[in-house]
Amino acid sequence: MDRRRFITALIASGISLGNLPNLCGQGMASRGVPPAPRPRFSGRPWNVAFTDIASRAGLTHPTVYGEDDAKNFIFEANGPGIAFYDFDHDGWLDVFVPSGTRLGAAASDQKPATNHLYRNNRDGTFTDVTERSGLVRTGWCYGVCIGDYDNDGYDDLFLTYYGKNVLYHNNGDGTLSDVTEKAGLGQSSTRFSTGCTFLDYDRDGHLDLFVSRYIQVDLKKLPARGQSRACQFEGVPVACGPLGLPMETCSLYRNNGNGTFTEVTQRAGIAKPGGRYGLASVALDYDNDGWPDIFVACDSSPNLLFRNNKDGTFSEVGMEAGCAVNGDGQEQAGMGVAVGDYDADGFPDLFLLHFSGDTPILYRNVKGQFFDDLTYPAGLAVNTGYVGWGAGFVDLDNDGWLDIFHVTGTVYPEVEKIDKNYKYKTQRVVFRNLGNGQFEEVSSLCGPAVLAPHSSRGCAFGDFDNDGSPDVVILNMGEPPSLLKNNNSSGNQWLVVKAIGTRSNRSAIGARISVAAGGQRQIREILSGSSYLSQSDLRQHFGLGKAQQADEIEIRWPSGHIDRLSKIPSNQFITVQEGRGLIKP
Amino acid sequence: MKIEFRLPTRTLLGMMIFSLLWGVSLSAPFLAGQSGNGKNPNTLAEQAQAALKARDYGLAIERLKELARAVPKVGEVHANLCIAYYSSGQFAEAAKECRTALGLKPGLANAHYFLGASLAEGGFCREALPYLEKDFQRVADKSLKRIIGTDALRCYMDSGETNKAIDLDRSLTREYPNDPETLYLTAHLFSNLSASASQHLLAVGPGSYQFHRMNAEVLEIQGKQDDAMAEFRKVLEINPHVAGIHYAIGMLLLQQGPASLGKAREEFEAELKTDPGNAAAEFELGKIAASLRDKDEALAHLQRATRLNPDLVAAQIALGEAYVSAGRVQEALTPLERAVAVAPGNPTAHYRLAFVYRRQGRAQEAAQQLALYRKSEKGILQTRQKIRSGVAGGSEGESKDN
Repeated sequence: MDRRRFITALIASGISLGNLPNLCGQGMASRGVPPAPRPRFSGRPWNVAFTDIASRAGLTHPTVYGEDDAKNFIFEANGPGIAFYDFDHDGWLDVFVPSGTRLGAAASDQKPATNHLYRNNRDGTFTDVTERSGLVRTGWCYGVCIGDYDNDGYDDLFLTYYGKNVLYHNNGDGTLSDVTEKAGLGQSSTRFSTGCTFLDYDRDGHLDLFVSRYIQVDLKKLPARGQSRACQFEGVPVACGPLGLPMETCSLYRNNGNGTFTEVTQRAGIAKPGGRYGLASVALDYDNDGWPDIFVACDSSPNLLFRNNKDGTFSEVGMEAGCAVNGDGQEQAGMGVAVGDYDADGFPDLFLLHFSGDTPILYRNVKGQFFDDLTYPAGLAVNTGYVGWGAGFVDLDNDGWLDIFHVTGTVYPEVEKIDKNYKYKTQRVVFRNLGNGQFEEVSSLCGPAVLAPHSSRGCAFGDFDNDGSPDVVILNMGEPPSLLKNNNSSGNQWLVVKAIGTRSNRSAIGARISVAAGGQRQIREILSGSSYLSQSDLRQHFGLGKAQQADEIEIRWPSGHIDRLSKIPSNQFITVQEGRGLIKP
Repeated sequence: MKIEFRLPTRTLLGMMIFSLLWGVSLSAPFLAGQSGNGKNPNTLAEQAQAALKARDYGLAIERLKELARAVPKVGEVHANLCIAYYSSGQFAEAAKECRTALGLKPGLANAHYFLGASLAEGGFCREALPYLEKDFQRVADKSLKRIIGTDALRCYMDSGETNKAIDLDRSLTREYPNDPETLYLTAHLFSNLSASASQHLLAVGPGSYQFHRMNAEVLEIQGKQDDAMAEFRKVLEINPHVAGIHYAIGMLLLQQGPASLGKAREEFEAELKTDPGNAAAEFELGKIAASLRDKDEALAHLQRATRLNPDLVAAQIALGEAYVSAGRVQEALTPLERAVAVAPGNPTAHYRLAFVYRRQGRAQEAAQQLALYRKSEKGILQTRQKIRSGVAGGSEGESKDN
């Protein structure tokens, strides 16, 4: 038999040599699953539509992240998060937009790209205050999280980099100062940090800091685009990784209470599980024991769940808790993570986005003991064509049930030029919570701003115009951000709670707020980080449906102290201080 | 027809030469006291050995030829010259030297081996096979035996001796189950058989449903789903009672996405009318019902699927999942325990069972199942990594059976 006939026979028997890259994975874990059928539409009205007002609001700087039409290395392709960050504490959300750069940009004549801070003018517009605030910085910024690490009453800003991470101290006068070295967070070498989350893991009232990381990168050794058969997607040479590249480890830094941090990664057991392709990280109390745990969404490797042992150490229990892999035991390409109690059973659940050819995953928290993969029964497996990134559980229509909003966008712009079916820019996705454990997609009912294609990464949630309906800010690769104003005409009631710690950290990160209204109890936890490397509003938004008041509000502070309020009228912003109760209005 | 893929074999053989040389040592007493053109035969022998060690076959041949001129009646010298020629790819010369060696000393086993190998590599299979057949039976060295066996297998395939090729292939795959060369030839042999059988089918039954079915299956593998479906439909036109055809059409429809789910379901139902024992069709109907959140119907189909074929692991796992989804956790145990018994290397089965135990508070058994999950998952990951590094790096496949 000659070679030609032999190869023909092999093709007939499905062992085509051309299939080999797919057989091996093209760089990220994907299962190649088809979408599940969509259930019959509920027919319930959906009264939420979004308008992208970024341009007229003044959020105009495009996010530079490598070349726009081709990505040579994976750190150019993944992209950063974004933040709603009330840096001036005026009660109006400002916007922080991280930036990347271009390889070789330093040698070019172009003005270097920088991160941007936009101050909210309280009239639907923003002013770029990057220079004035001291935040001009060029590099490959990835993650953003906020927290008042020195308890001076002003939320500080931490940024992760492919490079060296930065801690900015909020001076309270509209400026921020780089205190990284002074705080003991300086790095001697380049590392690929991604997610970050402030948490008070030892409950001493001072915010500690957790950082997740992606791959070990030595630019001199990093394989270039298309260097091997594994660095191809649909036959097109693309950036290599993460599969095949060395995994990285996470770090935990303990706050010494004097403005400095000490790395306790080893001592706290964070290094024990070894490396992962870590992306989004978030601290949450998944088992409701009052001690913050840490979840890390990992790309193409099992997710991590660090359970707080209450003695300064953590145990990694992701596999035992059922949230390391999907319900079939298969690892996925975790990107962003949303945290929220979607079924109102008092335990926070998780929703993660993945690479194309796979479903997202809904991990339902079963009484803090373990997680159930309920993606298919919940109706969330209806899309498998997107690469998903930032996500949030957010009550978009104020009906009292947490909906899901997530952004998408692929990572290989060069493929689009060859394969017309491949789109670099894709739409946003909205699922409405039906209140019975199931969701239905309502993207097409949310207006053109949701259906507009972008290659998005991070997204953050918050009520930037203080109208009682949560809005969304989205980072788009190579474009200015999107600011989706929520035009919610449901008429449902709402309540927004801002918490200020006293014995606990001033940002109240880790505080658990429970609101009972209309016969239903909802919980929120104040989170630092989450979504995809992003920071959402620290104020907690509750949709109350038709209820005119919150019958009871309970706040369990990280210190263990509990404050209770009763009969709080709806449709207002309130501020609660630890130990004092309601202080505003 | 000549087969072109012989380099790996020669590379391996080259690596074996040193041990073979010692087997026909040139420093043996038969060189003592002999002299030729003034050079010391022992010096020539040492130089030849050094050249072979350095894989400098040209120099080795030169020295061995000098040595043969110096001591022309020593069979071992010709045997080594044969090996050096063989290593450098000069098979005709190698065969000639091996014949000379055997003429001088018929008991020289290595000359016998390399004569067969040289003839085979040189394309003289008919002459090579008597040597190879005999040597394959008697040679003790495992590496050499594999080389002789694969040479013989190539020769059988070339000369159309199919039955002998199949018998030998079975021996080889039994003895060398993880040898890439053997596996490659096995794939070659059976694809050859497949191709010739299909061509024969085309010749004798171009209008038969079997022909259309085979055509459909090939088209399906080639990703030509519409063409494949049309061919499957032709099978049903010719003979509507052929089992498996509605099932195959149903599977093709499933690949078209959720819009074709209803049609796929009809095909699986039609399959069960034709073949009520088709567990796979019941399984697919169960999966469809589950995806449409019809828990009761899903359970009914999956129960039937597992009754029809208790070893259908995917159906047992799906049944376990369906029971959990319906809140009937205790009943999930039986199918999942069956799944891990039938497929102890299936990570999903262990993972699902672990969480059923967990729900029942059976922590120790849950931990055991998670440990088994990790073990089987690790095995799969290692295999995947091997494939990945092999494809990405193009690493040379080497035998693990030597």
